[in-house]
Amino acid sequence: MKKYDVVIAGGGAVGAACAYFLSRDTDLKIALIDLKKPGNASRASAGGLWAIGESVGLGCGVIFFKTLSKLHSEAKGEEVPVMRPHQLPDCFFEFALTSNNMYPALHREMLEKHGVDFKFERTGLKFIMYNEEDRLYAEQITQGIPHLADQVRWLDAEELKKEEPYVTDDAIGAIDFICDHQVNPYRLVDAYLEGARQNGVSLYLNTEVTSVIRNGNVVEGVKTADETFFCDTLINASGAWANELYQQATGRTMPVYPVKGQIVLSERMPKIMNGCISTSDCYIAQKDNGEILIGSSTEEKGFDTTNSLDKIQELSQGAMKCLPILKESSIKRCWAGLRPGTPDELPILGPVDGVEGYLNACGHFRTGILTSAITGQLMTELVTGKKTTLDLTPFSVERFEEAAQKAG
Amino acid sequence: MKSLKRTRDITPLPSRNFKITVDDQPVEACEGETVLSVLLAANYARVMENDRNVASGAYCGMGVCHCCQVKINAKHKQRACQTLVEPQMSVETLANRFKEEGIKHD
Amino acid sequence: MTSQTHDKVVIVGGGPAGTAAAAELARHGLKSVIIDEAPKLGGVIYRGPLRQTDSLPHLDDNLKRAMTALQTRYQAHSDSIEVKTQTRVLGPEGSNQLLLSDNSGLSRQPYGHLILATGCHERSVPFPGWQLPGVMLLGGVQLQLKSGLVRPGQRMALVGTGPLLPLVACQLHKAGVDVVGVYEASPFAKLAKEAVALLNKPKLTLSGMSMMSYLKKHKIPFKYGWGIVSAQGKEQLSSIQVAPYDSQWRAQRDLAQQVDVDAIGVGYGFVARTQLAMLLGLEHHYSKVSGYVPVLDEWHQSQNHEAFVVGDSNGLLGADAAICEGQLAALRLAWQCGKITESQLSARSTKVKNKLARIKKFRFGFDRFSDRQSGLLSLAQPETVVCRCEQVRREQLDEAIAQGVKDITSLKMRTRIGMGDCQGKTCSSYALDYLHEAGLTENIGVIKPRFPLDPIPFTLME
Repeated sequence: MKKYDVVIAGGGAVGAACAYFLSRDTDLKIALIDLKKPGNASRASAGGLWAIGESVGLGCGVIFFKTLSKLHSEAKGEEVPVMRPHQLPDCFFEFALTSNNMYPALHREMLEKHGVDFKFERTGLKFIMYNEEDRLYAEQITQGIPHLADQVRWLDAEELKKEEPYVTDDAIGAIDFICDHQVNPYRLVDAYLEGARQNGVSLYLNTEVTSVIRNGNVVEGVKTADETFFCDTLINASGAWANELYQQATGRTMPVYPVKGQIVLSERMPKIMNGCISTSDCYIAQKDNGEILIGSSTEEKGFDTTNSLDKIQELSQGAMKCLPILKESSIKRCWAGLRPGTPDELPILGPVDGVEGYLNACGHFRTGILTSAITGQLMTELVTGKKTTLDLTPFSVERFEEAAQKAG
Repeated sequence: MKSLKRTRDITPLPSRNFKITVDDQPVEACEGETVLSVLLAANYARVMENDRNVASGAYCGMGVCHCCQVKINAKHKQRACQTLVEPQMSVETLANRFKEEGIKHD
Repeated sequence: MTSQTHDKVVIVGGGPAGTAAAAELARHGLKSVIIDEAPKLGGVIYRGPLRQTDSLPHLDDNLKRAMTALQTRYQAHSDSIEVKTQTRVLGPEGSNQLLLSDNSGLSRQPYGHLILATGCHERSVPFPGWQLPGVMLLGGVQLQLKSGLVRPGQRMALVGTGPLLPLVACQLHKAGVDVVGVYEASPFAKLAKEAVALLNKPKLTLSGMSMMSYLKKHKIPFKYGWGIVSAQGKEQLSSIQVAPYDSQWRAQRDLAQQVDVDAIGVGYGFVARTQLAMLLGLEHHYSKVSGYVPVLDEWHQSQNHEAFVVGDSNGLLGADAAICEGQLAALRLAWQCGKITESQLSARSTKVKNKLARIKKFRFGFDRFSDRQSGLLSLAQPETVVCRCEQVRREQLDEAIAQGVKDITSLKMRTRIGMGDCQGKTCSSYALDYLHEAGLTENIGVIKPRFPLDPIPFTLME
């Protein structure tokens, strides 16, 4: 039997960030328990810190919104319309941008205090336009975010060629979100974990939480195959698997479900990209080690993590269209991650009405890497009873119950 | 251009053979051979320069280690041990796209 | 993209195990398709020369007989066996389908029944200088002799352990190479202890003895209890340091000797090739001799998947055992498909099982003799690269372990070991041994193979 102040279930970006911030800012006794399941999203992620890009439906969202809009139109029997930007609500912008602002300092802190480098790179995110339709789309995006005008740069074909010489000559220009950057996603997770470990967190990796110990409406701890962990607070950071733990902790269900994303990775290449790229087909990022990462599909196939040729072909074609030099390279690896999806694409954060000793830190969908830092900070504030930096009402799990009641 | 001599064949090559070029030098080869065997027969030990500028030669010889990758017919990173020779094939050893491509910073 | 009906049993790997399975299936009226990456059937061991030659002066009659036997076994049933050579399996695609690549592009291979006979590859042991051109794995040396008909060097030494050492030494010598020394890590006394086990295969033991006398006759030094320390050379190999090994295979560096060579073969064992089985989701467990191997029943069928795994890909027992295992899997499958009765299955398999048991007794004797000792792990110095693709140094592993890394995935994330082009096939057995040596044995995980198992040119996606 073990006793901790806080037990974190899940060691992906979000759980690891919670462990890091809690251990940095408090003297609490903390344990993190994680089993690497196939499809864990943090390791399958692109590592984009695309705060604006993701909020306006670029990056990882491109294929998602394409798919969504297609399904929507098909359901109504309409023709698929010209793609329109899909903008997330203001609360998400704030959540994403606040988190994004934390990375430069966090990167220095990790490097100096803990000797780990998660490869933060200032890259920008360029949306590449191939035709007038794309230009219209880009204009709609920028019109939707007037308050962020100073973070957007328009590049004509010539300027784009100068900055990204390997982008196809067919491109007519780009918009660049200058505050969107990238990290190495698995190094970020690793950095949080190493920082947490150095700060005294007990890491139980390769260990599965098998059940939650509950006493009435109080969550008292968790069990693993070999041990019992009592705690004052259980943080559910179980990614696509979060609903299982939630059910055990609360007896209710919440709508967090796996959304599969396939990713294609090239061989290591010389530097051919100065920044990250999103097109209307895919996103493309050259990582710190030179590999070109192309993502990603959006599929609801349960916990299946297999790769399929059709998706790999679509992604590869989209990337080759943008960067013809890829035709001289090979696909080195493909994999699939399971994003923890929610119906409104917003995370689920904070306490649950009528349940004590339990916090949600889940449902981060496409942006767990980007928003892990703010999530870690918010959880620390909740555990220590401080006022939270952001209003968590839009992220509470009760929103789904209210929505259900309204619908009912 | 001077031809490369094959000095390490265990048995004579069949009379029906053809030429390939290795680093622009013609060398005899015959149907069925791998590029690696031709390189070894012509006394080439240093075959590949990898992405991290380390030279290597054939190591596993069976397609597992990726240590004998050469440029074949203008395509980088072809495993010499897994590629069969064809007439007029052009092989370049120690070729590396990091020397040839990429954004060059001043 | 072609698609075929899956009435045929799909066999991945055309070595002794795969061809034996195909032939046995044919005997019971089952058709199969063998997929092999090489241009010829036979596997690394029995593929034979890839080019035309009038003679094979360096190969012994036993090997030539076995190569012919394999071809005969296939020829007798060639009507029932489709062969796809120079074809690679990239991984599973969808359900009950494999994605293949060959010279003409990608194709899908549906399967109803699957037999994996993917063989093994060699275990790499990093030591200072092991990246120098001229340092080759022992099987790689032999493949050049047998299939390439080329001498990989003019003046060579062999280091390692096990029966392949004297065999390759003889083949090299007959091929005209100056063999300056053979260094077997285990002491002779340990071999003598296994005499009883080795008598389970008297012919093989005799042939081993005749190889030893061949080496003696040609004054090729064969040193028991010696092994590699390091390799030197400017642009390519020019010499090695060898030294006596103690019982833990720790090199006694003060007694090291320099040997001038232009190439060496290094053979400290093999690892089962299980990447495809892992991608397919077969359950695996760790074996010290063979690395991760699938969990199978007595018929070599996976416990959690319908696939069969035969030959060295489920544990290293060599070609004769691989043939037996291929036959057993085929018999079981024929029974499952209703082609033979339970009593026919039992009658035919008993003989094969008995033969397999004898081979195992012999083989386990050699396994005990060649049981690799921890001293090998300390050949690599702190600055020695242990992962060639990503150029990860041993000291990076040390640092990660000191920082609390307890499993192979974390080690990979921290150091990039195993994340290069070879997908960890070269470095992961060392990394596993290294973690074990650091006292980390439980739940350390495995470097998971990723789709595709071989790189796919982007142009094939157009």
